[in-house]
Amino acid sequence: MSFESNIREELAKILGKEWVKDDSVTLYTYRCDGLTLYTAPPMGVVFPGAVQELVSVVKLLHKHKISFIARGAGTGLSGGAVPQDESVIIEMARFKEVHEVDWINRTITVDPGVINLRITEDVQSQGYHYAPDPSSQKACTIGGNVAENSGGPHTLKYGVTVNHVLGVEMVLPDGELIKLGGKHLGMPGPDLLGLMIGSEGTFGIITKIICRLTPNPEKAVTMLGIYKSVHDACESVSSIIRHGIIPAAMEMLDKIVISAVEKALKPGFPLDAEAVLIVELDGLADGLDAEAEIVEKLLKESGATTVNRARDEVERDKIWRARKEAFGAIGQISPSYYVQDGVIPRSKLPEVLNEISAIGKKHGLTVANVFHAGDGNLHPLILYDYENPEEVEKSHKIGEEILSSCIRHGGTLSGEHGIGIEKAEWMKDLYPGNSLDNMQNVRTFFNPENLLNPGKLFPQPGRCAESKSGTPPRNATVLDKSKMVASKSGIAV
Amino acid sequence: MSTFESGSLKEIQSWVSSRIEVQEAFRICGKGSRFVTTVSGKFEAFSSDILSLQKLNGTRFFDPDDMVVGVESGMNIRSLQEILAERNMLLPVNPWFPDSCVGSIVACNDFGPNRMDMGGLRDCIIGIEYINGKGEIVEAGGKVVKNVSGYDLTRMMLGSQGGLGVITAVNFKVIPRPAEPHGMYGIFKNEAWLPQVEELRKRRIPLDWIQAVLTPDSNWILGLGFSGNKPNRNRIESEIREVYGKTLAILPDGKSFPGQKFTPGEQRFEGFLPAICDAWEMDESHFHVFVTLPTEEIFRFHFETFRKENFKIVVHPIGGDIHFMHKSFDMKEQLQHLEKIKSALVHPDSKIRWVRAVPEASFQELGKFGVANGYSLAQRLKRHLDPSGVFFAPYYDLEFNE
Repeated sequence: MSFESNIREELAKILGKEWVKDDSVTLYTYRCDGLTLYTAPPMGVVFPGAVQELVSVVKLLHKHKISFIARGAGTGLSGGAVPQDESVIIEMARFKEVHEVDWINRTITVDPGVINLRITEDVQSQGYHYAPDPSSQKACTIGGNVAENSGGPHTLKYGVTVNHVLGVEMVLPDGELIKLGGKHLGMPGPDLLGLMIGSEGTFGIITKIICRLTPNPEKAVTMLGIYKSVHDACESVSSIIRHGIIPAAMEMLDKIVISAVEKALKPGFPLDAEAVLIVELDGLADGLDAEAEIVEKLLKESGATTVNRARDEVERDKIWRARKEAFGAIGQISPSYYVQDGVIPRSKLPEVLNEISAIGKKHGLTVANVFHAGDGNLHPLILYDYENPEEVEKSHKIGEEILSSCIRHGGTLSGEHGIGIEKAEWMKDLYPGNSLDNMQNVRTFFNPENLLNPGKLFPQPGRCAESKSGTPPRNATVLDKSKMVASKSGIAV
Repeated sequence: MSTFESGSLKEIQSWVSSRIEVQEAFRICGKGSRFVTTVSGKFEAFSSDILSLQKLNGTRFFDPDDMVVGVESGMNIRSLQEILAERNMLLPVNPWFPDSCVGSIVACNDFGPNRMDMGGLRDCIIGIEYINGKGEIVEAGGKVVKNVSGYDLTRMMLGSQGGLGVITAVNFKVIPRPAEPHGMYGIFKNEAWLPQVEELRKRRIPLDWIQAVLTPDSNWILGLGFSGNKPNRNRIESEIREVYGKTLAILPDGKSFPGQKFTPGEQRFEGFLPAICDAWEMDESHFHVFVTLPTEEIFRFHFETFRKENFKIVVHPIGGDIHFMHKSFDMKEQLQHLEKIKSALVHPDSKIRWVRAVPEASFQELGKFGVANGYSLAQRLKRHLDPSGVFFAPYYDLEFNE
């Protein structure tokens, strides 16, 4: 698979030969994103370096009815950047400029290829940060964050990407360049910006983003509650919320994850604990210790055997590193894992976690849990051996049953990874009525010929049975050694 | 012109379907507290029929432990806040009028002073139910606080001005009521309070709201709201005093500012404009527009000109917005006021919305200030989702070249 010669020539006229690639190494490199289960080589990869170049490329591909897909760092975990139908990948890595920082309006305007963490690095000396902090923030791009509406551990208090993006410039699938939003949130009319964020790159290609800057908290208090039962840890979460306190983050790790992070990172978590709960409060220094005392009391009342408070930044960093690199640490105890991403009402945590454990036991595989407890956003890690086809099959079944459980308990399919290819077939279960048709109708409006990122979000004709049996979808091949694994690179949520 | 009113979703759906079948446009109306064309349009200048959602006002669910609530769109915001308050929760959106119904504030994307650091409806809305252009009931979003499963049709309907469908129910993420909310208040003879707000902003003090109101005797009352435990409040208070000197009084929420007819912030959880309008003796047909603009534009805005010309003004400086009112009934005079405001706006992202005006006032007069970036896209989306054109919404009819 490669460009037809006339297409390659036309693309080279726009971009220059060096930015049009369809050699075998490039095609192999771009065959998948962070979800390596689904792979398919693109027709080719182009690297525009300016908005006008991008517009010209899109118009050209649109004219020739060639499908295309924008890609950032490729850290997505739902296969959203995997080319389908021999799409051309438009790599946005050259869009990496930080433009205006506006201190009065507290905004920063950036290119989509800017790495998430770079925004915070650029403004932290002035006392600000960019709040959404997915665990892949050292690698993932803001453009990808906008496409997926990414979250992170601190979204409990600060919100997800949609709450921190005020405006975008984007290219529609026919090459029209438009702007949505602006420097404040009070724009009249339908919130098309909100609609576009999280549309998984199927409405347009982002070329510029106005992000909100958040003042750094003066102080943060990070606590670690240690529990003899997961149920008690869940009760602590509810107890804090019930008390009217919204921590910056509440993250839970179960016994299996504790043992993995202790092997890999040695944060000092007790190996005999059934669960640990990280609770972080932040704000003005004055009064924060008093609030922390209340939280500590609530944790103990609801079953924490011990509550440790990070005494300094070193201890705090150690706790957060254990959380953010927990997925990678799983490599210490299992050859591979399959990470799920489901959301449930927070009050259902104990019930659903019991179900997840039972599902794993039923199929004979271990399911570990590390998740955003405050949001009810679960990330069950199904541990399996990629060289054992039976376990691969079981991991699929377990993932499916976990998602069914989330839906049954009033939850949803994804809190931050998106639907992509991975969960497209389950959308019918989540939206049994006509909601899915209405979503597709909106896609038809933005992307009438389905040229932009086809095959994502919605069930594809004839694909359901294949996908659920663990066989890759049409035009995809399974990678030999890393089936369903996003783990070893430590790319996580 | 007739009004259809029902508390039954099925009956409403059936009525909407019948309108779609005959391609007859209708207006959607909640309590009818809005007096200009955007959603309810109370005036007979529009001959279309009205769908009243006032009776569709039930609670679908309320789970305080999960901090979520779902209500039908005819419920007014005051009732919703009362339901939430019983369990010490709050929807941190305090639109202008407490009688506004939930569907209306969502359709207009209204907000009030609390938006500053707690966010507006965009940050609270998690699910929606609406009747689409085919007469179908669509459910989007859900009951959980984090959700990226498919397109966000919920936010698409936010601010849609009734033009993309009939909103019948909305799910919100809510928050615990702030602990011990207080306000600090000061009276200023001129706009000296404004640069001090800028200074306060630089200190990054976590305030809940800031509101400045011009009083009937042409002074400004500035209110600065904050909450939290005592050490936290003491710190904020001392920072504010450092900026403003010791001229500001401190009051817990609910206490009136001595000697004034109203206290900014006092009614902020249930709607803040009625008390102010009463104090100014404002009428439904008086001139009233609402301007949203970037913070920098507010910091350099020449309020003095408008104060001297007897405008009544409410300012939320961060984020930010300004309400301009004037006691004039005459169309020509109202349009002159509008032009004056338009000519004072510099930033291209500044936008104006009518709140109250004479019946003849129309959307068209707002020009580029009435529409968001990507307006033509919104117009095209309207035509796509409402092909029979039954959802009356003048927002989409503006003749304007981007």
